[in-house]
Amino acid sequence: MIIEVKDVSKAYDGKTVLKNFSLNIEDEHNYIITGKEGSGKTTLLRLILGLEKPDSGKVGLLGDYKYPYINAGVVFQQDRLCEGFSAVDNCAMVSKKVFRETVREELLKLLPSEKLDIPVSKLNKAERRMVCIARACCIPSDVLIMDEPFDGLESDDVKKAVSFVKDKRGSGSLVIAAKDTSQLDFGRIIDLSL
Amino acid sequence: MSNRLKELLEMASVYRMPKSRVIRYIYIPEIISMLKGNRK
Repeated sequence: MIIEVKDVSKAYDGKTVLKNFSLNIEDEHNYIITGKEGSGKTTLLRLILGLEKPDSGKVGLLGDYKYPYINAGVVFQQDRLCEGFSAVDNCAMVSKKVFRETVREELLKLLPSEKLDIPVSKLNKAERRMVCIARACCIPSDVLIMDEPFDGLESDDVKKAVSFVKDKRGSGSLVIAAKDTSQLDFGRIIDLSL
Repeated sequence: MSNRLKELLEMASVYRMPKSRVIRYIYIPEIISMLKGNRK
């Protein structure tokens, strides 16, 4: 499957964020979208997910794909966790195909066991981000789309999370938007500031 | 619509399995309680 982003332009309140931008996202490839604040990283991810419509150009699927929509595991820029629920519950709720024991095993790769069953409102910023990453990776998906997934993580945690995400990508594709790419040397870097 | 509700609805829509044309959103209890709250 290839996600085709073709000649896409998008503006908000008269300010152009993306102009005639094109990119093909292919299976088994990693893409690191970078650029300064307001360069269109989040907008690009939202266009790929169908949460925004481009002003011009198109986002579509090329080749033989079984579904009319992209099957994606997503980390949003904001955590978007259900605050009163535990890490396990937050991850298990995104798919009926996910078993709680599997979720627990995956979460244990990122968080200590005592953090898994308490409400996520009691976790710190880095721990909450880890839950978001695990949630995105828990479901079977064809593409992982992550907006600043490692924001607020210490260097060692970034390493742990990157290794987890790369392992979970499988044969799909991985698209990460990040301002800081210093520890993200495993994919094609696309700088939207240029 | 509040920002929080909008964020959760977006999350619920991207996480629904794409093979389902009927189910457009996954079930997130907070969305239901927010919608009920709005109706009061």
